[in-house]
Amino acid sequence: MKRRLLKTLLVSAAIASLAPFTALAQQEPIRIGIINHDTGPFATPGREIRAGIDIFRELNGDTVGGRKVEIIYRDMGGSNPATARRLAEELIVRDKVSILGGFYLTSDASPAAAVINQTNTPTVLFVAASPTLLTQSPMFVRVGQNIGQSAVAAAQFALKSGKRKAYVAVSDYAPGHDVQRFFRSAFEAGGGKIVDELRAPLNTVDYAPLAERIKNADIDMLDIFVPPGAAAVSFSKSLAAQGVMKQNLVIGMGEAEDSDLNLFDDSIIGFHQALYYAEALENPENKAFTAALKKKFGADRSPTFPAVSAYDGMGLIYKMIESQKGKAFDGKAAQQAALGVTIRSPRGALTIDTATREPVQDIYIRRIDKVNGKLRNVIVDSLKAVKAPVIAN
Amino acid sequence: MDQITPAASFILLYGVSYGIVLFVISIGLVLTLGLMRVVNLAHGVFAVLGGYLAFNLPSLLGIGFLASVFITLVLVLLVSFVLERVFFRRLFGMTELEQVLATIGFCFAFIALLTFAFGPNVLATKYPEWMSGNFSLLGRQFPFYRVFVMACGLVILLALWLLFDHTNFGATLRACVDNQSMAKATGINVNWYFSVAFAIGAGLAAIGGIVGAGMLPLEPLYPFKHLPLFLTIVALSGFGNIKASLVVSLVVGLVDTAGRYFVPELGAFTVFTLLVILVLWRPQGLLAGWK
Amino acid sequence: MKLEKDGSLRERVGMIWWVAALAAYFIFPDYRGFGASVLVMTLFALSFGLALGFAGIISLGHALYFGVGAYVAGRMALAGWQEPISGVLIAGFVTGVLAIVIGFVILRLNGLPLLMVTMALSVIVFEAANKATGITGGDDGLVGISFKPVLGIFNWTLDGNLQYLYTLAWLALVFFIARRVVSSPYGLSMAGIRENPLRMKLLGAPVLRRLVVMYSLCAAFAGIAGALLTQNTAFVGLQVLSLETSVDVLVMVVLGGTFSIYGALLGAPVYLIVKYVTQQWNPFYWMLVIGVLLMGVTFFFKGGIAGWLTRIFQGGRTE
Repeated sequence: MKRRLLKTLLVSAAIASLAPFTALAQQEPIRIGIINHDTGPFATPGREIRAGIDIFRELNGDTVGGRKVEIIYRDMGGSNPATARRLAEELIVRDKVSILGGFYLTSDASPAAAVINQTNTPTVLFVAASPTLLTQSPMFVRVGQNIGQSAVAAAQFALKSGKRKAYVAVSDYAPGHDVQRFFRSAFEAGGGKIVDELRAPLNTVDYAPLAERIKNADIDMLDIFVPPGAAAVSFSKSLAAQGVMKQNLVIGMGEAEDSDLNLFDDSIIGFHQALYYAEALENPENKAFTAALKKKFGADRSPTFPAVSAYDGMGLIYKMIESQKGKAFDGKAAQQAALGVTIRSPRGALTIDTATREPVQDIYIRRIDKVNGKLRNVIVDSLKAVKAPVIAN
Repeated sequence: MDQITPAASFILLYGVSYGIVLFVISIGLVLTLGLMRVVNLAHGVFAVLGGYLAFNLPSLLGIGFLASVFITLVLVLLVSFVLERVFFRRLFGMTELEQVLATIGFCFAFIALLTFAFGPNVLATKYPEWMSGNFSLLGRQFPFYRVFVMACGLVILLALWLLFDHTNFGATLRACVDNQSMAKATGINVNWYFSVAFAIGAGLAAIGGIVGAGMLPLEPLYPFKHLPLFLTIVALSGFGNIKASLVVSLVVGLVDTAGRYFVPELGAFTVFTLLVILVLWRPQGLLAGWK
Repeated sequence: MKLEKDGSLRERVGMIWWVAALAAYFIFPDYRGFGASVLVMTLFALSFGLALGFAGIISLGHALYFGVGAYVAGRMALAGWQEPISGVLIAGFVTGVLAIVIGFVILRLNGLPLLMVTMALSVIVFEAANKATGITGGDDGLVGISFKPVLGIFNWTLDGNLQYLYTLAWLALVFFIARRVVSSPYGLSMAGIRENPLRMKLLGAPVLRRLVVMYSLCAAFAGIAGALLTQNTAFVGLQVLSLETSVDVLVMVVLGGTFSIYGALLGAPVYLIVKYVTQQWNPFYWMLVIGVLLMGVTFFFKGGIAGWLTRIFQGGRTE
């Protein structure tokens, strides 16, 4: 009798112990592939992107829609489209990720389009800003910006400030050319005149000759676009040394973020930038994000636009996963769930346009001033709910 | 005519100051190549090391900029002297290709270490107050910084001239270059002289890196990034020919500056097109008998 | 390369490489895409090793031909010519002809001047390609490329199956041709030119002409490698023309050993696999590891990896 009871108890216990397993079987972890830059010339924004992802996970956990989220990181190591394609293929085919994220450069995403289309893998572009990118795959969704948004905002701010004679100086690569196009189109549409334009080769080290050229032109504003880092520092120092910064309105885009300001001296005061984020934003999401960032990485760490973009990108990814709760993961359906969504982001409100899959957001005009003895980006204006602009080539 | 004077004065000042920075950095490479027949692709390492030390020591040790530069020079001289004995000397017996490989490897390792220590970004460099600001001349503004660079270049040139043409050390060094076996036969410790020359070259590169940081920003990839430029100057100069390397550096500086001023789009091409033309035109004038 | 008495030993040891390359296909099915890219670089390294080790042409601009081959293959595909094998051959032909023109001009030089001119040419072409976005797609590269199946039956898939074997076949073909050239009488005269150009001139050998022919052949091989890259990845980017690519292939060849045609076959996979593994392990350390590896090889492994293997198999006899 006792033995039978014992046997029953044991069998029951055995069956009961299987229960968690059956529950778990429904919650297979979901893998996300992040194509980022841990080394190479873009390691700094790459680090920011990682930070944004980490903060998101800290504040939101790693389980969503009944699934545990696993993240696999891959390092581009620099600009290399061949590597981008290989990494995307490996992540999708070998590592079996369900969603792709990351993508700082346009050339990180463009080569991956083929494999993404073949496998219908939803892909969230965190920072890559080229306008043509979204036409290359219906599975691309963007959370950073379309570069035209900030270029147009810069033009409109300049027009608003009464400027009518512009010089456009960009680095000679695709994003630079895009800025040129969009700025020119918006500035001329508002009655302004483009006095001259120049494209600086990417390998330029000494910007003094270019600054000299600009100085000799009859203008009242200058729109620039150079990659952040060595180029931005060199260029702005040259502009300041030639007096261009003092005499004209100079607008850039992301060359002198708050985290970079230790590279510059007081000659940068007065430099404007148009971008979709500013550390100085006062909304609750930004405050929470900044606090979490400083808590995790130290009080000296500043929030940056790549970090915020990554944070929002993860938000979108989580929404996609959530939409597939309780069923097998369907890439196309998950991606649909992201369209039309509005996220409360540290940058303000961010909506994903249903038709274009582009972000609709406010663009802020920031000016570098000295606040309490330190250089800071101060918000002086903003353009509301800017959509991705479309112009004929 | 009105257009020409400002443009000309700009190109002259900026082109020459840029050329001088290139000269000061490349001299060490010219010397090493001429003296020891060693292709040292890692030469830029000393320039960037000098820069990183000079701009970081003030905050680390609480000292002024000039003191920091002095200490940096001493450190670089010591480190390069030791490195020459331990590492670079052994390149002497190798083929050129092996030298290329070994020095590229050294470069890689150094860049990796620099990235560990300081991160991959550009270094924030702030020159002291007395070096900034402008003054007016010929109806335009000239930055003090550029004038200071030119002054430095002149001082270094003078020092080198005095060293090589008017001291025993210089004479002995030239003897080692011209006829090594003879020098050895007369009891000169040739190896020691080579180490010293190498250290001098490294020290000069460090000065170039510090003084040139306003034109060539300091970052871990610096030695690779500017290697084509340094090699160009060395190739167009002669074997250990300091005067030629000065002329070449100034020409490169002027051509590059003028090119970027008048035709910014083609800025990347001017120096290298110049190189191709010059090398094809006067191959015998350049490093004849390289092997 | 000298004609070794132990040639047959090298042959047999060399066979191991081919067996291993084929085995890798089956042992590492998840890495076929990566393997294909390694094979492409091996072919490129072979083309450079021939120029460098065999003809004595020191060039820092061999990526020029690699890149031209890649872009020719890409543009042909975009224009509608999507047959792969002929695409590769045409790309190789075009680069070969280009090299004849360039070679006649620059191969009068040697040593450091030649090095500098090849480097400068490479930079100039890179910048030109960067600007000519209509032809090259600029820094976004050429997209939308596709090819017809190889021999009409083998389809291009995502997993790299076809890419690997297709590239291996081309590599074997080029290697076979290279070996025949090296051991031919023509090859002997090349060795003479490399060792003592003046003497060859005095003997009446048409040195410049022979050099140009060899250079052109090496360029054609590089162009083939470039075309294969385009076909494998369905993409062409500016990196194929970069100075970094030229430096990479120089490092691979010297690492493997310039005195033997097998040098490229050893140097390229070792360099690329070490780079890949260290990047996975810790992306920050790879530069340090590669740097130490390069210094180690030059100091302790004379003649590169091939030299080291030769010493092992020959029981310590020196070359």
